[in-house]
This record gives sequence, C-alpha cells and structure tokens, in this order.
Amino acid sequence: MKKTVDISLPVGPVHPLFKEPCRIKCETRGEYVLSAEVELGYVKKGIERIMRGRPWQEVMFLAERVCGICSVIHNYTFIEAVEKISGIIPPERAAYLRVIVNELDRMQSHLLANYSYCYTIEHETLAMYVLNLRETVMDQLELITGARVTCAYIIPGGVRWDLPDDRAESLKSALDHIDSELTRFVRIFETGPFIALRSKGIGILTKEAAEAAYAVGPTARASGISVDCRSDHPTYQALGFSPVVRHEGDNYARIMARFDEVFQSVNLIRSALLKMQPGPVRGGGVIQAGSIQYRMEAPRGELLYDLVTDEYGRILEIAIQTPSIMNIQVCAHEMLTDAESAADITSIFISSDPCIACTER
Amino acid sequence: MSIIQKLKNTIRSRSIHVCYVNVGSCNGCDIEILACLSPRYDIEQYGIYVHNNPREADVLLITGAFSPQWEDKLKPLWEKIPHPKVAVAIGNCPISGCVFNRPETLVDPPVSKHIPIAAEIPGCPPRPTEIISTILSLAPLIFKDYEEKKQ
Amino acid sequence: MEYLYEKDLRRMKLLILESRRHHAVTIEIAAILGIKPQAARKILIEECDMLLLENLPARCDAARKKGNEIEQKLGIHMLTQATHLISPDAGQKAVADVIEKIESGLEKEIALEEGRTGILELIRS
Repeated sequence: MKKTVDISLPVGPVHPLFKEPCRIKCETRGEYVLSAEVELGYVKKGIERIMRGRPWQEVMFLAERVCGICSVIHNYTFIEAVEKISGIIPPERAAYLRVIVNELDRMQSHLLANYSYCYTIEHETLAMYVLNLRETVMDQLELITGARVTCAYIIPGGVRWDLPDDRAESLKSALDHIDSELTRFVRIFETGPFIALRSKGIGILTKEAAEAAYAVGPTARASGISVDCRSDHPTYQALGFSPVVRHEGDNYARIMARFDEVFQSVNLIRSALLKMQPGPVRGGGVIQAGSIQYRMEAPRGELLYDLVTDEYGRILEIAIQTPSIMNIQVCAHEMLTDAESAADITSIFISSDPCIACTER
Repeated sequence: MSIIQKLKNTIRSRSIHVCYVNVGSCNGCDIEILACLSPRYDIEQYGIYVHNNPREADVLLITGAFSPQWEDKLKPLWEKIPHPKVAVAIGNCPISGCVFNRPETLVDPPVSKHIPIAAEIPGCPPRPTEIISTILSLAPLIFKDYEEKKQ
Repeated sequence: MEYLYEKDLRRMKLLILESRRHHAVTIEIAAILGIKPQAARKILIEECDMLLLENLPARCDAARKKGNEIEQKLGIHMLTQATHLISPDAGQKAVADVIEKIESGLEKEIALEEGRTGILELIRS
C-alpha cells in the first residue's frame, strides 16, 4: 500500500447499503481505486471456541447459527460429517427431503443476494420484486420445516419430520409460481440498459486470480471455473446435477449465475419430488469417535467442516472454512483494485455476495 | 397542548426512520428486518423508512450479542442519533447472548449494559410481523408529546 | 480528535490465527522459513490484513502443490501467491539464486538453507 494517493476512503462499518458491519479502506486517486483493504472483527463471536468439547446435540444448533442466511447448509454439512464418521446412512426419502430443504434455502439466499445487488445499483423496483418472490420461498421453507430461518430440520439418521402429500402439492404450485415470475424478472435484468451500464464489464475477476485465491461458488463459476461440490454428492448425482458456468467474470455474470442457479434449484426440487418414494424418514444411529474433513456446496460456495469427535459424541476439535472468506478476499484484493469509480465500490462488493457473519464466525 | 406540539405529533406518527446495526449477530435477525421491507409486509405503509443512517434515525434496531470491537463504537453511534430516539433489541442475542453466551465466548451481552434499551423482542429470530408491531406500538409511547413531557 | 476506527488489530488477528486450520498453516510456514511458530505468527500478523489471514488455509491449499521441486522445498508459492509476504519477482530471483548455487557445485541442502536465510532477511527488512 505504499503508493501515491489522493485520499484514503473508508467505507463502513455502518453503511446504508451494507447489511453487516465491515470496513473497507480504499486508496483512491480521484475516482480511481488503487487498492482496497478490509478490516473485520465486528461480528467475531468465537463459535469454534464455544463448540470445542461440547456434545453434538449442542454443536448442531451452534453450527446452524454460524450464518443466518444459509443456516440449512451448515446444519446439513455438520450432520453429514458426523454421519460419515459414524457410518450412518440416512433413509432414501430423508436424503431427498434434505436436498429439497437445502435447495429452498439456496433459492432464498440467491434471491436475497440479487435483491441486495439491485438495491445497491438503485434499481429498487426489481429489488422489491425479487424480495417479494423470496417470501414465497420462505413460506415453503416454513411449511416444510416449521421455522423461517433457524429450522434444525436435518438430524443424524434422517430428517425431523416427513413431507405430507398436501404440502408437496403446495410446494409444486409455489415452484410453478417462482418459475414464471422469475423468468419475467430475469428478462427485466437482462434487457435493462441502465443495469447493463452499472454491471457489464465492472468488477472483472479473471480466471487466474480466482484460481490463486481459491474463489468458490457463483463468484468462481461466473469466471469460468467449473467447481461445485454438489457434483460429488451421491443424492445430487442421482438427480443428474451439472454446475452452471459463465465466462464473463463481471458483476453481471455473477448476478446472472445466481439467477440461473435458482432455476436449477427449482428443477432439482421438481425431480426430487418425482423420485421420492414413501418410506421412513428417521433411521437413528450412534455417533462414534473419528475425524473427517467434509466439503459441501453452500449457496456462496464450498463449505468445509474439519472435525474430530470422541466416543461419547463430543466434538473435540472443529474448524469451519466458509465460502465467504475466499470470495470477500478475492473481491477486496482483485475486483476492487482498478475499479473505475468510487461509486462502484459498494456494488462490486455486494455482487460477490459477502456474508461477514460467515467470515468471522 | 400547543399547536406546534400537535403538528409534531401528527408528523412524527407517520414518519419513523429506522437504522439497524449488527453488533455481532448471525445475520438471521438482519434478514428478518430486510424481509419487513418486502411488499408482503410493506413496512412503508406505516410510515416507517429503513434508512440505515444513524444521523437521521429515530429508532435504532440492535441485533447481535455485542462483539469486542463494538465496545467503544456503539456509544458514539447512539449519541449521533438526534432526539427523540429509542433503541430496540431484536432477537435473543442482545437480551441474553442466546447460544453464544457460553464459556470461551468473545461476546459480552446484554447490550443494555452499554446503551439504554426501550424494548426487547425475543426469538431466534423473531418474525417480521413481530418486529413491525413492536416498532408501531413503541413509537407513540416515546414520540407523542415529547417536548411537553421533557419540560 | 480521537480516531475510533484506526485501532490496534493485533489481538483480533491473533484470535483468527488460533483456529485449528490456521494453526496448521502457521506451523507449515514456520517450517518453510526455518523459524519458530510464534515468530511466524508475528510476521503474519504484521504483514497481512485481516481478510488475508482468514483466507490463509484456502490460499495455501491452492498454492501448496504448485511449482517444481526447488520451488516447493523453498515454499516460494506459499510466500508469494498465498501470503503476499514477498513479491513474485523477488521469489523468482531467490529460486534462480538457489538453482545457480546448486549448478555451481554447492550441495543442495546447504544451497536451500542459504536460500531460506535470504528469504527470511527479505521478509524482515
């Protein structure tokens, strides 16, 4: 950071456009951004320290509260990690129900991210449309799991309760509604000339930089890297999953990649509903001692749980590597550098879908 | 009651500016506040505007269990809000620390140790309707006849 | 005027490095530089910003397997690409120096040791 600068421009921690506190320090020359640095520590709760030495029954709920936006995937990854250690195989119906809930969670997370971006570029109409559509997804999530945000639906050996037929019907009609509405919104986004001005060619992330910083999720997939942990998951393989990849690497590509993934999630849920056979949803089992590194695809990218359990089902050691860490880092150090205008700082930052609560835990 | 007080009451009842600050939450409560903005709940029909700017706010919504970096920053932020003002704690975290208040933790709840809290909404997270109804029932208690009560 | 936000962040940075995966990476970098983990931690805290520190394990995963044998032994990609402790040009120069020394007849281990000392001086300067 030893360059001649006009002004060192701090953004945050309390900023009208940020949902969460974080502080971006930009070194600028005029409007041109030379480099950016991010200061964290505003939401550091020390979850990994609390988890250490606690039984899995408690850690399960703590894991869910690592991030409120993508709570289902944290629950899912933790439970599957301890299941892998103990050799528990969930019933087939439960595996499909897990996918359905996880994809609903991914849809609401992506819609929220795209709402934030549209709001940041001051296209409030589209933002409100997208946010209202998210409520439809939240309703279905609540109907299946019983809670809007922290639902703790997935438990070792299965899921908490079954999906009755009438709720499956309501889920199907909600999916049709989302499909038709979102097609309209995506057309607005694609053809909007002002959206294109604020999005196309701004905040470009090259494939090389994304690989060096280990970028994951839609941020990496919009830069032409085909990484998705879902392609290694047996349930997703049975549903015929293949990742969405775009090649532009700018803000527009990242937002469109998220819209495309929402459509993909709709199709995944539809095929899961078709493939699901009646049967038990709870298998039971005992948590045993062992250690594992388990990776799954969160809405923002690859999520890694590295944990050690003992024979009483306590968590001895745990490390969580969340996708936002990589994406925010690559955003701050690669995308923000050489941004043409200070007005683009917030929109570039939001386009990488930052989640500070995940990053700091 | 003076005419100017009546005028102020009328205007204040339909213009409540809200700022929210996250002092170490998991984002669950924050997205429920954001959900209030959606046309389904439509917070603006009650005259509530979410500006997220402390200098023009009337109501400060606090989420989170108070992480160490906020120790010296929340109080100045509270002082920047013009009178009349009110702080509302959203979720279990600012009240008790929720699941984070355990040995080895870094957080330091409750938030009421640092700034005066007028209302608390428990829940992990509370529903958007609960947040809206709290703001709506709290605002008249604080803002109505504010100048006359002060004298 | 009091600056609220320009605070000493060393304590927060240390909290980040305490995690299990970060601890493993710190030990690895200490081994590359031939110093104690505590000293490596001090260097990391002084040189990296908080976000880079959080992302250290993932970046090291991406950088670990890169390069030829000498580069891997010196851990040059860990230092240049993953942690930004030295610039890529300086890293390439250090590798070239070591290769030159080996070609001029110096024993491999000693050449690597000398290269390590040179890199450490570069970081500390």
